[in-house]
Amino acid sequence: MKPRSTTEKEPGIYGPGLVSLPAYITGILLVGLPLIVVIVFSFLQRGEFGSGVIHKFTLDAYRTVFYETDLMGNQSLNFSFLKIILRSILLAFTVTIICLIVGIPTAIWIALQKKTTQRILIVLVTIPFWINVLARTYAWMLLLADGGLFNQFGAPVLLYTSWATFIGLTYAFLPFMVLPIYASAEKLDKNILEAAFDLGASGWRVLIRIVIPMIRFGIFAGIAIVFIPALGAYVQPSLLGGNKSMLIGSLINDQFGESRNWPVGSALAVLLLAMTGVILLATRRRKLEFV
Amino acid sequence: MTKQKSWSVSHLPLIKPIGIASLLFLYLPLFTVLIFSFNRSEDATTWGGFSTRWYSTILDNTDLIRSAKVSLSIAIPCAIIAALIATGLAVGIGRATGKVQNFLRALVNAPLVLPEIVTAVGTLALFSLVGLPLRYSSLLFAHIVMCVPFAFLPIRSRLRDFDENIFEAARDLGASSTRVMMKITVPLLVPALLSSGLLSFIISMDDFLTSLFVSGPETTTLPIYIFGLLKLGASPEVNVIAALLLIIPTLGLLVGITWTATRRRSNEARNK
Amino acid sequence: MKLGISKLTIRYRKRLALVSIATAVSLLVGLAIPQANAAGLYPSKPKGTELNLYNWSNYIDPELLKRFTAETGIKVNLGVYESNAQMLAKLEAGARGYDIIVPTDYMVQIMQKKGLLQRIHRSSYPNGNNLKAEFVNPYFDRGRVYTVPYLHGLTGFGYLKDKVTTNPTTWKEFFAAIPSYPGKTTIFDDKKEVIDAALRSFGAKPCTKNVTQLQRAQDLIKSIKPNLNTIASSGNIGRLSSGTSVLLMMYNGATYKAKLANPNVVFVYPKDGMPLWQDNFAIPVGAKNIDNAKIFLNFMMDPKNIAQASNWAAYNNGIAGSEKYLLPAMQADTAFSPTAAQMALGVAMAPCSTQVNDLYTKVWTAFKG
Repeated sequence: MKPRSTTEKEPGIYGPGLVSLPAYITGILLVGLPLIVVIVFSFLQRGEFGSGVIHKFTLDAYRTVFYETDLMGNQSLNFSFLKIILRSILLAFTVTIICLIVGIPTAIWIALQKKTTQRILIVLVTIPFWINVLARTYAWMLLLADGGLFNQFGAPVLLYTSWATFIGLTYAFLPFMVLPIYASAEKLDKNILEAAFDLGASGWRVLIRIVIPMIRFGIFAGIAIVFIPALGAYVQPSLLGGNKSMLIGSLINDQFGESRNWPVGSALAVLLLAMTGVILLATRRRKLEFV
Repeated sequence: MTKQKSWSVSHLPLIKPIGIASLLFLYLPLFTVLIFSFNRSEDATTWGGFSTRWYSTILDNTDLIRSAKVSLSIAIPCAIIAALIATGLAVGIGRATGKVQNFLRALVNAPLVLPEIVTAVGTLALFSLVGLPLRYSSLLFAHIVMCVPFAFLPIRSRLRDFDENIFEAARDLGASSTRVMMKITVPLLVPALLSSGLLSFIISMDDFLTSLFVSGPETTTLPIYIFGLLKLGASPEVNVIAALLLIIPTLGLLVGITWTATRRRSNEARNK
Repeated sequence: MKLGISKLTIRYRKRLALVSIATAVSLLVGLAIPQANAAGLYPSKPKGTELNLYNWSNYIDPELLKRFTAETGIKVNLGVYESNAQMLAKLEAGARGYDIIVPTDYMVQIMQKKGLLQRIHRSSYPNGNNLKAEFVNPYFDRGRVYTVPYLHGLTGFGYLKDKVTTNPTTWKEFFAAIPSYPGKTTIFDDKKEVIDAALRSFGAKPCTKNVTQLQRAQDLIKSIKPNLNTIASSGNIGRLSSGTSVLLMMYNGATYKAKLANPNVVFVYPKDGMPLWQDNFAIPVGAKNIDNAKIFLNFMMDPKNIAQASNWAAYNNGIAGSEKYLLPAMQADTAFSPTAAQMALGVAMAPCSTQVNDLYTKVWTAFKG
């Protein structure tokens, strides 16, 4: 009899391998190829009158991103673009931190409830995820407006400030943070917690020394799921932030739209890709999973 | 003597208050939109009494209805095709961990982890390079690519729950892989296929950024239309549209959950 | 005998040749004429039921479109954009199939140079000659070969007179007043409009190559930026009438609409100069429903229809005979009807050179970033 190999190594156990062909084609043509095209475009020359690209190699796009010749002809490190990039990183970082501070306790709280309560609470956390981000952003346009609820209760008008962008992003991404951490937290062995309390550990100690390390993979996943999209955000800065502070997302949109400089837009996208890669590497799991 | 639990959630500092506060934080804005959709006042942000008058204006809004139709006409085929492609991926590769398979799986799942703006401009750049005009088919392709990684999730998790022995046994009994697929895998995957399709449907209906870049004439989707309205500022009509965008998916989700819960309960009852 | 036969043959051959040539020519002409007619002939009826209109956001009366559909059976699919550059970018990115676009004067010239517009063959239209005399030969489309005038207006600024008491009358005073109303001022999300206004405020001309002047403009707009609430070209009617903004860049017609909601609204034609812009309908290359596009253009050259558009948007138009259908209250208001002196301050916006455009982009990125 043929030695039985584990299904771990065997493709085709569920069906003929050919069935995955459409997925391969989709993946290569519509995921791989666009990324390659973006990278290539970032090394091409801007088209005439700004439209499209000319197939000539040049580093102009990256030069524009990093260096700037100001109106007087002085070359300097490009503060405009670098400022935008740093601002985006700072914003994404702050949003992630706040989501962690709120999301970790929430996930733990849900995980420690009775099974049926857990299910209900998770559904409650998931519902906003199904609601269109535009509607959820609009809710804050209502709340933070001049004469809106917050203003009527004495708060200053926050609409069209960076605070509004920050609140809108945190609101949009909180469920993304809670869900993966909950997935880790629900597997917590409650007996360990019980033992720790029995031995006289304080609540803080249990939290910091036991619970959080045990859910760290969920936390890492949550960080990646929040930080990366927050870096490339476009909707919230545009609607809530008053369109005043450009972030990478709005800058890329602008270069592919109004400013019609595709190579520069592509170069920025490549930068964003690189930053994404760094985050993913930093938060990846140690053991390989059935992805 | 029954052992009393010596601790409760309240022993862990701040967990309960923050948990409750975050739920309130998540739902306060949603309820605000819901309530304000019944605001009589023409000033969308200040309350002026209860009225349903703005709801009746929705049906007159031909642009809104057309964009909704466009979105549906993309989301439904996208859901079906993405679910099929994702199933193909899961079934064809199985749990293989070869370098090629891992790479391709990562590639297909990439839209999940990359910022949407990168994939959106990439898709636009690709279409422009090959001269594909921006119309219905190009938008559909872009949506399918976006939905496949989401569609993949329920299928993957269902396959993981399977007892591998069934498949091994079928193999040993001489069944061809096609037979295994048709007789075992697919029937077992049917509930996951439904979740896949539903997930893809919602992702496609809600998508904004990719659609913005890849849309052309005749493909103004619902989110694109709504974004245009939002740029004009708050208005009673937008209040109603936003409220509908809240109510419909929520109801759908609740209906779906109740339905799966009752099915599960009836299955359990039957198996007793 | 041979000579006789040859002579006959020659004459016969000549006749044959003449007849063949005549036949060939008439055949060609016969074939050509229907072609020319097909290209230029006004369609006797719509082809299909769709029209893809790509227009500025909030810029055409929805009731007018409904009436168009009722009268012609053609459904209008409306797509919107917020600036000429956005519209151009979309078209160049591969969005073919729009039937009607609404470019502003300078953009018409740019697009025509790039070969993006089709001839409309206006002379074959029933309403084709309804243009006001002064609108037939604009610099960007002599003879109106590619476009039909839609609405035109001027860019100035508006304010609430109960909140802004300094009575600004120039761009210089506009920018000077902004810091007094932090969080309650708005300017357009339009590179050209904003930089031109800044340049005018200290006497410089739009499209200047002088980098010192451009630097000064950049410094000016950067200095007022912290006092702005949002940078937007749309949504300002609501902002002004509700008081969310008390001082903003505004189009004259939009300000009239704001005035209808709030009588404290004032529109200013800045004394240091302002742009006079003309928006036009055009048929882009790649249009799917050309016949329906022509029917739409003809419809919009009917004085009654264009007057309805004017009455809704509060801007004047270029179609002769529409005056009698305009709302009298609107016509009497200065926001709609500038005086001759005010009109003289308006300057048609020609496109800047690519080099100057790049300088503008530098200024704008430094400002927005």
